[in-house]
Amino acid sequence: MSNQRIAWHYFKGMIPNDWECTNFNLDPKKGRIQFSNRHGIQATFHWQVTKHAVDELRMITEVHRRHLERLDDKRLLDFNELQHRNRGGFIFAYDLPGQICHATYFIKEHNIHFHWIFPNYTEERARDILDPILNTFAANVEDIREWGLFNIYGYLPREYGPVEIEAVPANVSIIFEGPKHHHVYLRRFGMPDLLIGGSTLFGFYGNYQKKIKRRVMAKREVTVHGMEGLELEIEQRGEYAMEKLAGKWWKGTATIWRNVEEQRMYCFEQIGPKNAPPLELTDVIRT
Amino acid sequence: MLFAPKPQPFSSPEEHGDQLKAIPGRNELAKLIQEEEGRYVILEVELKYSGVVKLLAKALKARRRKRIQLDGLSLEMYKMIDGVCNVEEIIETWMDKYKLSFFEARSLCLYYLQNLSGNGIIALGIPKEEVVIQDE
Repeated sequence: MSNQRIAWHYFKGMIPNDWECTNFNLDPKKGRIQFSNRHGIQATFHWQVTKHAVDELRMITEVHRRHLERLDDKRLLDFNELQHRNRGGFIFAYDLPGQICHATYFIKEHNIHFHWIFPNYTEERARDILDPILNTFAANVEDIREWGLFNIYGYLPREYGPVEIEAVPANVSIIFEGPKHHHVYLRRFGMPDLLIGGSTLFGFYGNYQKKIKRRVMAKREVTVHGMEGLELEIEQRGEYAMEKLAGKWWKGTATIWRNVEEQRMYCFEQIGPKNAPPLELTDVIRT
Repeated sequence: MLFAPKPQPFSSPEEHGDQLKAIPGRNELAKLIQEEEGRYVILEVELKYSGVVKLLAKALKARRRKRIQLDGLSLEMYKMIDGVCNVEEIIETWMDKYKLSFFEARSLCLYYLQNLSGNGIIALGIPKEEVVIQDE
């Protein structure tokens, strides 16, 4: 099974390559990501920052009971508790084949609770698909935190958090905000030949910057991890408080590079007020 | 427009699987007006009005035909429709060609299929399940 890396608030790990994020929320304290493939929903991943320790087994047993109630499942009459075993730091809990199964992990040092819910439990599925996922999962709580979703990857200081995700077919942008309103944009464009058409990389990207109400002050050709790219100096109207009132211009940089093999273009943009410390591209984009 | 017939909504069965099994077919009554190989195609379809609009259209001598230009991805989609390939096969072709994920290709395909269907250029059918009768 080929895998892809994911990393979000507090966790990182590997999931099957054909799983895609089809639902998410951005709340750092109580969030959820849903993964699906062409056959339907494959998993939902929940995380919660709690004030106190969590009785994991009791919590997931209650979740399971309520799930059976919602489905009006006859099994509810006989259901008492889930069977469980340990897998890679998680407690993997299940009942009968065909039902949902759970994996729970509570990180005591940070009071963070992770809870996976997988549909259609079978022993083969648990062995072949679920165990490898659980064995790769780890906490993502370092000072430099990894972020990876929709095949966009980056490393940002822990003060940065996602504020918006724009996901349209083949084009995704994840927007992070850090201290002093410094914004970082990680983008991924698909079908670059169609997007660029008869124009150039600058023709496409320059127009894109204008479309999102920025002005391009300068450009230069760069190479990003061996790939042809372009770096633009950009300006955008300030977005907060006095900067917005006074109509001040924020300065920043926008870098785009083309991965010919993947048929994708990736962008790293950063913009913010004068006193917001900029980040190095090589620190944020490591692959 | 006042006299434009309402585009038929893309028939999207509730089940994911049914949607993928649907087979798009070309409207054989759509006339090819102009073609520039690989760049664009102009098709003409007949408009059908119904009910009160039909009477009004007749009285006001509203247009009976509409021309649609297909280029880029809509032309590519139109060329792939042969009445044999189902939606899933079309999605997989775009996944391979443009290195897209399943949901990316699916969203794009459904968008263009809906567009073509709304303009009366194609229609979608869901194949009936074959019933195998065993000889006794």
